[in-house]
Parts: sequence; C-alpha cells; structure tokens
Amino acid sequence: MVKRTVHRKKSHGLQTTKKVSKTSTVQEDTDRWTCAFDGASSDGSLALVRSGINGHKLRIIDVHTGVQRSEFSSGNGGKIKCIAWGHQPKTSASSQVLVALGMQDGKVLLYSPARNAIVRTLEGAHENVEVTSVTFVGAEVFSLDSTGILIQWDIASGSLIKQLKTGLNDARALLVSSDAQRAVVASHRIELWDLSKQSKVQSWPGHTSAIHSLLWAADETALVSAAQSDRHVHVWDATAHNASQPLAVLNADSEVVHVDVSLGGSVLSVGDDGVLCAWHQAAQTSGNTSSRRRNDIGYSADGVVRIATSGGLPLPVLLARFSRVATSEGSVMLVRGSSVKPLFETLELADQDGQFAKEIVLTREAQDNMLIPAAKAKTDAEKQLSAQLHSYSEQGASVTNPVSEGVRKAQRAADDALPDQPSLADRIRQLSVGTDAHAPSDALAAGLKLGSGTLVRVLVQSLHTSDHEMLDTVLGNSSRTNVVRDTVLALPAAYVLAFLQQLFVRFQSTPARAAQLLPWIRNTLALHSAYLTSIPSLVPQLAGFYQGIEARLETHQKLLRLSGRLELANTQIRARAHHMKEQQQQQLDAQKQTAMKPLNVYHESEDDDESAVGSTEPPTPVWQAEESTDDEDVGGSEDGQDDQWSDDNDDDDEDASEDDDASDASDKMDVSANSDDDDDDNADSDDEDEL
Amino acid sequence: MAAKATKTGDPASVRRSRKKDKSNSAKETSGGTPTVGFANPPASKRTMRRPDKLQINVHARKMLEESLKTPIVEATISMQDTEIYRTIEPKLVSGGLLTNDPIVFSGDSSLFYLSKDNAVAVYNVENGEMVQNFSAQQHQQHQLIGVPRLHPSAIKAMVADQDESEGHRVYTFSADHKARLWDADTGELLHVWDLGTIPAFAVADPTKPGHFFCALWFQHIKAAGGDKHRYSICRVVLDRNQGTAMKEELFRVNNPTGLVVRHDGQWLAAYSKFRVQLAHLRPNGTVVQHMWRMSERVSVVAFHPGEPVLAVGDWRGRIMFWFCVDEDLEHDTEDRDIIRRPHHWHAHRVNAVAFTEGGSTMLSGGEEGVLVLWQLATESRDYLPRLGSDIIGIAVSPDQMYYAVTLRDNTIRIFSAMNKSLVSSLQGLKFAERGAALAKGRRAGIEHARLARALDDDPFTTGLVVHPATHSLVLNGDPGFLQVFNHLGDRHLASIEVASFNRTGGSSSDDVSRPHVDLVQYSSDGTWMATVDSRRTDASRGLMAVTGSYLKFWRLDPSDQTYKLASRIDNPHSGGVHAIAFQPVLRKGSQQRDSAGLLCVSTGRDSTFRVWELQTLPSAQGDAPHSFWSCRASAQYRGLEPHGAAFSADGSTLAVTFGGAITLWDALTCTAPVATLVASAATPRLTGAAFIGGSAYLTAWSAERLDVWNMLTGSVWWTLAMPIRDVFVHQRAALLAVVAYQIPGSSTASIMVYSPASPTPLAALQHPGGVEAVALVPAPASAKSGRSHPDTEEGQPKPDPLDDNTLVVLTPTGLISVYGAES
Repeated sequence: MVKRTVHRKKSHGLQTTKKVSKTSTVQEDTDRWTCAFDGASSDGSLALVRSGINGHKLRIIDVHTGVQRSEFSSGNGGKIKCIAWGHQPKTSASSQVLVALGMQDGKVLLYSPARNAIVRTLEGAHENVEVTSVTFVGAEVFSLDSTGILIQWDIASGSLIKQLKTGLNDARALLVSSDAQRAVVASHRIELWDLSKQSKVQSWPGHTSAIHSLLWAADETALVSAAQSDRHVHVWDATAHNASQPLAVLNADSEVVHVDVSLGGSVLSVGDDGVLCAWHQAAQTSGNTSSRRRNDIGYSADGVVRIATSGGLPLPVLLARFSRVATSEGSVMLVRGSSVKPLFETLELADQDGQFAKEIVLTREAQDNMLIPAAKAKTDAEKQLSAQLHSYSEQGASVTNPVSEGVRKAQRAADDALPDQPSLADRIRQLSVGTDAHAPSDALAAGLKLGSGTLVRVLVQSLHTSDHEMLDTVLGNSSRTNVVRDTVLALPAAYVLAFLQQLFVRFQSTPARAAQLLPWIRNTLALHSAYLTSIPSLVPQLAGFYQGIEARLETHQKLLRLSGRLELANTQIRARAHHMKEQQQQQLDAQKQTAMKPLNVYHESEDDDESAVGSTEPPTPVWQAEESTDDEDVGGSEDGQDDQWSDDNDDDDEDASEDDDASDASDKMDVSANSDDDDDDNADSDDEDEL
Repeated sequence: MAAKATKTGDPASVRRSRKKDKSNSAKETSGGTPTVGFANPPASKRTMRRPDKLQINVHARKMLEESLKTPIVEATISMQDTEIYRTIEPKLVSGGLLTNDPIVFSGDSSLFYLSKDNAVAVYNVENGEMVQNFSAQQHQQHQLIGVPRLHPSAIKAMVADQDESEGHRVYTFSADHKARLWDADTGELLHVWDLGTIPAFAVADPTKPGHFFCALWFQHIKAAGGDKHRYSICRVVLDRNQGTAMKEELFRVNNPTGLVVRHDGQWLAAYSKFRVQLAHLRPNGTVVQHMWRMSERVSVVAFHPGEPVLAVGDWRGRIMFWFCVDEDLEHDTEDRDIIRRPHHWHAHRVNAVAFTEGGSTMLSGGEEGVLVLWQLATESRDYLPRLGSDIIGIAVSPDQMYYAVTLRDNTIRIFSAMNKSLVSSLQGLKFAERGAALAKGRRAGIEHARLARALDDDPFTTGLVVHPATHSLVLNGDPGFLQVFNHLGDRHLASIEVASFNRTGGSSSDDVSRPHVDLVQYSSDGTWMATVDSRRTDASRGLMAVTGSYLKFWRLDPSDQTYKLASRIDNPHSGGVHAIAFQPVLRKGSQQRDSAGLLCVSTGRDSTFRVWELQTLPSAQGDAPHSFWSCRASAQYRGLEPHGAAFSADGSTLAVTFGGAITLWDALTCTAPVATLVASAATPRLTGAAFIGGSAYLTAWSAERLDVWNMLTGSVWWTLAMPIRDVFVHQRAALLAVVAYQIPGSSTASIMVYSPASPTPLAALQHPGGVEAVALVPAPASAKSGRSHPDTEEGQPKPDPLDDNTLVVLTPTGLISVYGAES
C-alpha cells in the first residue's frame, strides 16, 4: 500500500525527458505524475496514471517484464488525482487486489486490475471536491479531499463509516496508521489526528510549499515528507510532542518529485533532474542518527545514482523504490525510460558493509524505436509473450572450443617469444655482440640477412624504457662499424627519431663523446633518411642539432677544407686502386657492370645542391651499408665523419661532395668485390679495426 | 549455489547404511564411544578435535531423530543449545498444473474456470489474470494462492452454469462424491449434493438447466486382459431447492476416456480407447444405443452442431466424420455401412476437436502445436502455427468470440475469433507438466514406457536456483529452456531459450533431438549467468550417450534486463559437465561493474576441473568493451572424477570434491591442492560441495551423508548421515536446507534447515508426496511489520536468518509450497 504522487514540473524535468527520448511521440501534457507501486503483494506491479485522449488512463505495468497488464480509462474527461493499492476484504478466502482511484469530481473508485473493471464506487461524501489522497487500511479506505475532509469507507458495503473535518485547507497528503487509529494529513503543514477521538494530537510546520509525499518510517514512529519545489526531504518524529523541528533534513540535489523509505529506514528521493539520492537509514527515531550531524544543516545524500548513455547524455531516473525483501537493505528498483514504456532495473546500492556507494553512474542506452515493436505485437498479451520469451541468439557472442583454443594459445605463446619480449638468453647474447653470427634476424626489416649480430633489441629496449645506462652500453660499440650499421639498419622506424634525440642530447651535453656518437648519428641519418624526410616536423626537431653542429664547425672551416681536399685525394687514390682492381677482375661480366651503373650516379649528387641533408639520394640499404664499411676501410674515421658533415653544411663545397660521391663510387666497387662472401667482409672489417 | 545431489542410487547401499546407522545409534544409547554414527575425522594433523564436539554431534543426532519422528513441525528446545526449533508454516502454494482439459468458459464469456486439484480458479478472459479462487477446503487460515496440496477432493469435472441471471455460477464434481455449486464472483459455496460415487466426467444438458450427464464410477472388474473400471452414464438432476441429486442410469461403459453431448441434448457419445458408444435419448424416454469398434485408437470425439455428424479424431492424425446421427435407427452395429469422410491434416495424434456454433468451422490441434481452423463448407484450412507446445484441449467461448487452447506445457492461450490475435496467455510452471505426465503414465500402462523415456531425456537437473537480484526461481522449463517463475505471485516471468533446436520432427517424433539444460548458475550480483546444455542421442537407451555439451556464459544486458549470450564454449569437458560455480564477486567499488577477472569453475566427466576467467577487450568503436570467457586453468587430481565445486566467499579458495575427498585449491593458480579434507575413508563419492555464505563453514555431501566442515579448525563440525536428496546452500546468509528421506523408498521427505554452526536444525518438517528440490529465498517483508533493524551493532543479537528467508519446496507434481517462519 505504497502511494506516491509525483509532481513533475514541466519546466525542467520534462525538458530532460524530451531531450533524451526524442522518439517518444506521447509526451506528458500534465504537470502531474500519479503512480503507485504494489507494495503489499510483492507481485510487482506499478500503477501509473497517464492522460489519454478522453480523460486519464490508469495502466498496471508488470515490473518484471515492463509489460502492461491492464489498462483502465476513466472516460468522460475524468481525472485521476491519486491512487493506492489495497486488498479486498477477506470475506472469501482469496483477497483480491484493488486499486483505489481518487477522482477530481470527489468519487473514489475501486478498480480491480484482474477483472479490469471498477468493482465499487465510493461516492456521496466529497461533494465535487477533488480527492487528493487515498489509502487502504485493512478492509477500509480512507480518502482525503482538498478541503481537509477525511472519510473512512467500508469497502464491502461501499458505505461511509466515519467523517472527520480536519479543516486543513488544500490538504494534499494522507497517512493512516495500520491500526487505523491515527491519521496524518498534510497540506504544507502536517497534522496528526486521533481518529477515535476525532481530535488533533500534534502538528508540525512541514514545508513551505504543498507536500506531495508523506510516508511512514521506522515502524510508524517517524514520518518522511517531501513537498513541491523543495529539494529537502524532512523526517519527523511521529511520537514526539511539541516538536517543531524535523528530526532530520535530507538535502537532495534538486527538487524532489518522488520519495521512498525502506524497511530499515533508508530514504531515497528522485529529483526532477532524474538523479536518485539515497540516505542510509536516515529515517529513524533512535537518537544515534540525529546526533550524527546537526539538524539544521541537513544531510547530504549518502549515495547518488545517475544514468547516462554511453555518449554522456543523461537519462533521468523516473521513479525508484526500495526492495521490500527483508535482507537487502540497499536494493533499489529504478524506473527509467518513459511513461509509455518504462524500464525496470534492480540495483544494489549497498556494498558488503551495508554502506551506500557514494556515486553510481550507470551507462544505459536510450530507448529508441519504441513504437516499432509495438506495431509488430498487436495485443498486450502478445507483447507480454514476446517480452517473456528470451530467444536464443549468438549475436555478439564468442565461441570457443577448448581444442582450438589450446592450439591458438600455443601459437600465441610462440608469437610472444618474438620481438617484443626477448628472452634473457637472447638479451645476453645480444649484449655480447659479434660473437654470435647467427643471432635471430627474422625481426629485421624485409628479411635482411645480416652478417653480424646487432644491438637493435637492446637499443629498442633502452629507448623504450629510456634506460640511459643501457643506451650508453649500446653506444659504446661505435667502433664496430658493422655493428653500428646493422643495428641502425634494423632499428624500427618508430624509434629512429627517439634515438636521434637521445644521440643529440648526448652530443650536446658531452661534446667529447662526439667520436663515439658520430658513427651512430651518421648512420642513422643516412640509413633512415627516407623515413626522416617523411616526417613533417623534422626541421624543428633537428634544428637544435643543426645549429650546434654549425657552431662547432665554424672554428675550423679551413681545416675542413683541407680535410675535404685530402678526402678528395684519398678517394681518388682509392678510386684508382679500385679501377685497377676492377680491371684485374675479368670475371666481372657486363651484366653486373650495368647493374652497378644506375647506382653509381654522379648526376644526382650534382643537383643535390638544394637538398638539406647531405647524404643525397635515398640509397638502397645494402649499398649504404657497404659504404659505411668502406669509409672505415679508409681509416680516417674522424675525417670521414667531419667530411660528411661539412658536406652537409657547405653547400658550395663542391669538392667535398664530389669527394664523397667519389668514395661512393669506390664503395660500389667494393660491393662487387666482396658481395660473394660475407664472412670475408666480416673478417676484413675486424682486421681493419685492429689496424 | 544450489547444487544437486543425485538421487539415492541403489537401494541396497542405502539399506546398508541404514543398518549401520541403527547399530550406531544402539551403541550410542548403550554408552559406547560416541564416535560412531558420525564419521571420524581423518586422522591427520589438521583435524584435532576436542571430545565435546563429538558430544554435540551425538546430541544433535538424537535431536534430529527425535524431531523427525514427530509428524509436523514442533517447537522443541534443545538442552544444550539455546537455539530452538522455529515453527515454520506454509504461507502459500503456487505452481501446479493449470489443467489438462479444455478450459471452461463462463456463460457470458468474460471469465473462464480452471480446476486445480480441489480448487477452482477464476480468470479474466481479457487479460488472463486470476480474479477469484476458492476451494472446498476453505477452513485453512492462511491465504492460498494456488491449491492446498494432495487433497482427496480433487475436482474431476466442472461445468459453468449458462444461466447467469444471478451472477457467475459454476458446478464442480469432485472425487469426494460431491457436486457443488459455487458463486464464482464471491467464491461462496451455494449448494452441495451427494452423488454417492466418484464422478469421472460431467457435461451439462444444453436444453435443461440443472440437468447433467455424468459418468459415475460403478464397479471395478478384475479381468485377465487388464482391470476394467465400469462406469454408468447417468442423467443427474441437481435440485437446488431440495438439495437432492436424482440419478437415472442411461447406459454403461468400460474405461471411458471422454463423454460428449450434442447441442440438442438428445445424443450422447462416450468413448474409450478403441470404442465409441453412441446413445440416442428419445423424447419418450427410451435410449437407443450404438456401438462401434474403431480400427485406430480414438483420441477425441465431438458432435457437429449442425449436421448429423460425429467427428472422431484418432492417433494417426485423422479426423473422421461419421454420418451416424440418425434418429430413425433403432439399433446400430458395426455392420452398418456408415458414410465416413476423413479430414486429414495432422501428422501426429489429434488431441482436440471443437466446433463453432452452427458448425461452420471446426478447430483441431495436436502434437504439432498448430491450431487448424477447418472451414467445412469450402474445405479450406487456416492455421495458427507455432503455439509452442502440443495442443491438448480447445474450447470455443459461448459468444463465439474466443478460442481457448490448452497446451501441454502448462499454458493456456486465448485467441480472438475475429482476427486470431492473442487475447491473453496464462503460463503455469512448466515443471508441473512433468508431474502430470508421470501421474498419467502410471495410470495408463501403455503410454508409460514412452513417457518415462521422454522424461529420461529431459530430467530435472537444474534444481531450484534463486536469481540473486530478483529472487525469482529459475529451473528447467521446456527442453532447451529455462523458466523464470515468481513463486509468490504464481506467475511465469520468462522463458530463456538456452539452445536452439527443431521443435517437431518427422512423423515419428522420436527423431527430435532436443537439447537439455543441465545446469544454471548466477554470479552473486546477477550480472552473469552460466548454463550448461547438452544434446543426447538415444541410440543406446541404457547408456545415456552425451554427444555434446555447451557451457554458455550470458551477460545481463542492463538496458533491457535480459541475458545475452557472451561466450559459448563447446565441450568444456568431454563426456559432460557435473557442476559449475561462480566466484562470489567482491565489490571493490560500485564503479567497477564489468567485473573483469571473475572466475567460474566447472567440473566434468573427463576427470578435470577447469577455471574460466572473464576477460575484457576494449573494443574499437569505443562502446562497451567486448568481454569473453576463456579457460584460465585446468587441473586434475589423482585421475579421479571431480563432482562438486565451490568458491569461498572471498573468492580466494576453490573447493573441488574428488571421490570422497574435498580438495582445496588456490583459485588463482590451481597448481596443486592446498589441502585435502577427508571425512572418513569410507566416504562415498561426494556429489556436491559449497561454502556456506556468511560463515566459515564448508559443506560437502554425497548421496548418503552430509558433512559440515569448520574451515577455521579444519575439522568436521558435524555430520548428517541420511539418504540425501537435495541440498540448498544460501548464498548470503549462513543457512542450508537439506532434503533427506528418512525411510528409503518412502514418499515422505524430511526437510531440515540448519545453521552451519549447529547440527540442531533451525526448522524441520515432513513433506508427504516427496520433494524434488528446495530453496531458501529472501522473503519479502510483510508490509505491516516495517521492522526497523538498524545496523546490527556488536552486542545486539543477530536477527534470526530464518526470519528473512522463506523455504520453497518443489514437489514432484510441480506444486511450489512456500514456508516461512512464524511472524
């Protein structure tokens, strides 16, 4: 016998509703939501009043399926002002569930949802005055009209038992104790009447506006009230005499439209913004709660529940009630959706300690296409049937077979052993580079086969974790040209920039390490130039480095020139030597010659004046790689590097660039010479290192 | 966490154990060592036990034996413990079979009547809601939604009074030899007449009010070819003024299966298996009898209202029109060449035939679940297909506006005659249909084997499972379905199709291989549902060959509150799954609602148990993350077959029973058992295990005993050595309910509710007629009480858990009895 009258202000709450459920064609055209949960029978029904074309309509909705069980139309423009659930007197063994409807014209109708008919009309007492509240106690119905007249009816005979004139103007809410001895009536103030003596016992100030909800709490020793346009819920001590102060004031976030009290005294309210606030065991007369905090400040909500779509659009909670199951104190049923198609959901507010969760945000999808399924299922019974049948669907489900999963797992395990996480053994092997010529190279780009081990994994690891020590260990290998080359070559493009940045930082901070760092920088720039040029923000990224280099090179321009000259000479000597070598190698067939030629291009270097980065055209990796080795061959590592950088900087230094290209040309020859066996090459480079 | 104990297997072993028990109790009384009768704890270092514990056990044993001797629950105060027996009383009864017959419409077609055992339930045709309910046993104080159980005055026939000038009236003819007239609006009993014998069928004489044709039991003939029940077909006149019933015998039949009357009240047809007896009641009072033997077994007979036709439906699916209603004939034999016309559409047995007024349309239905509307003039047919189950009865409302179809799965559907749209649907507990089938099978021997086979294919395996959020009952429904049932409102809530399958097969319906839902479990917050379903081949009847089982994980879709399949795991265990159990989720915070990392354990016939883990993958579209279940670990133990499995309340420990041992595992690693608990070396195979919610106790049970272990001491706390049928462990409160059979083979089951700390039952009751399953369901607090129990602080006595819970008992006949602590 729980009765609620929810005033839903058109102004704010409905706008929210409108916003969310755009597809809803039927909107509330009244500012009043009258509804009641069937509390007694635990059967789970919600009686909801909607305005129809011809007067109000009462819908009985099954909370388990959300389907309408029966519908009653008042007809003739009759307006239902209040409703309450109750039982027919137990004259026969079975008691029939009834809904009492308080009408605007002063009648009280008793409606049987099962029969879908009005079984009795109680009239003759409220003379055309709006019945504002109605409630059942046992076999009797109590009704209150707006002039403050309280009528006690006998259901079986439909006759008036008692009449009480409270004189309370604009009375809105009524409560009768279960022994039918005490009645509480409320307008904006609250009065307690003794029904047998017909006298006023107690009066409380109530609220500043008209009270719409009034409930018993704590075994009918406390009252909970909420009023229109008021965001406070008041708890009153129903036993106290001369209490002008509420026992507790509960502050909701917004105007309260609906209130419910649990058996354990927890209170919830639904605001007109659709937010549910809950107070844990706030409505109790025992002193411990009131001493918790001071009354006049009020309690803020222990728990707040909001609903939003995944897109963040808020969905309002329309109604809520506490579960009437004894053990679950914090179990709450929420109603959302719309009055056309409400959706019911059970939510556990309390955690294991019984405390309410501070804030719960539920993500739910907004209702859409509400009318389409309605069109498919014609009658209520068909709707109910379809709502009750949950047919099988594998949509969105994953299907697993233990066997196939086992296979997949094994594969995954094998995959996991690949590049991301090298085993410890791998790492150790990689740290002692060069010793193992057969390190796994499958991770490297395009299936390149390298002649020596690389440090790429350690490098990637160190970059990934920004482990400076490990990086320094890697950089310490700069003397091993093959290693440097191969490592840089295998470095994934994603890490190139990070690596460069690290190199630049070191280059700037400790110029003394330049000798160590330059091979790395040069190789990186040269081997990954294709990638680097594709980075739009490359110039600002490299600007600092460029300026630093330039500043350092300014002091010995002449030296550079000399170096360039020497390099030129050197290269020419080498080229000549190569030429002779080439002539000696008669086995080199014409095909190979021509194959070499396109790589050995001088023209491209001639028009590379405008190119910023000196290493000219993007060469094929092999070619470049061999080049770097060859530079080492020549011996003057420092010179070579400087030479290259000067090359970059002095665009006008034609000699140097030509020089470089010339050396490139000679490299080509080397490739041809050494392409047959990598091992030789390896040995060569090692030897030269020693030199 | 309701695990199902298997049926007590072979009676011999049961008897043995009983004998042992007796000898044990004898020793106890003679003052011997009080260790017998209760399993000795294993002689391991873990289980040192003080002797006074033993004393408690012995005491408890005596208490129990004493308590169960008393037929009805009685409050007894234990000498040692302060705990007392709580009186629990039946609150209501729901479930049960709606009807096996066509429903009975009231004269104005606004209501219809169903007879449930000895009660009459009145329903509104428009919305299928019960409006009134009355029975001959009104003096029971408590409110009954359904029917009091097992009553001798079961209603055999029901006739609505067509004269409704004084309101709705209904006549009932019940097995206690009484005919009664009821006011259906108020439930008031108006008149009672004594018939002197058991009525079997009754139809009203359509022309004379107060006149009925009844089949009254006459005599029982024991013959070589089978017992014969001889019934006399009488005209019964129930006089309201004098309160007398006048009987006038018309003719006699053997073993009738039905009785029908023609609209003019002059022709009467009674039929049995292969025989149709037709009687012409001439206005001058003479009775002309006709009798034919049929070549096909007759399933239903109906008179055509307009033409002189008797429609006979048979087991082969034909409806034969016999043009035999001929007033001029004095006598009729099988020799007469009667014009017959077959109407053949049904592939299976025709279960129901009905005609509309005037006879323009004939309605028929059978195993296909298709309502066929024959337009007799044009010989065209219309169909209402896919009704969900076999049609067993069809009724046409008196105003010709509704067709009511009774389906075998305990469903009644009412269709509008105008547009064949569904007007209302009434769905009972599907399980009740099994009980009815069994009872019927016992009566009719021939069908028995087939029925038994059908039931074997679809055993009741899920037990009663309580949905954690809504507290409704979940159990086996139709094959391949789960039914969600509200026992308090006697209301069907939902059918969940767990597997898809073909509904009908070829002409031999045995071909249909229907999946069976073996198990269902819910996670503690109801977000996840796990089901196991299997398909069986019936190639080898003796050995149930399981061809495939599927473990399915369903997620609750919060938007529409239905379970959506999330993961299907094919053949999680080769050979079948024994048990599944969810890890109780610890709520770390309300924000974390997707509960990734939730575990579920399954045990199977392949001697392995597997732990499944919920994994979530962030999805690309940015909507809800895709979650699926995968196997996290699997383990074996000594090559034994695991049966019961359970997680501890904090989810850290996993208990799995292997043979007679309970093994405890770390739920996350499952590498090796942390501990092994053995109650005694002679412990038979443990079939289930569960941690008792809210306490430090673990229980494990086999077909013959139940042990409760205290996990703090690692010892057996107490033992119940009885043939155990079912055990239900409450998930939150420290309660467990045990169904046991005191006397093996008897139909009276004992139900005990225990708190794990004490072997003294909190409540015990005896349930005649057997019990299929029990459950402890959180009770709705009565609206009046409004008990305010604030946070139970220390010092305050804890509220009795029984107060907050009701005991739900499911009987083999499908009735759900709800017991609650006395308030």
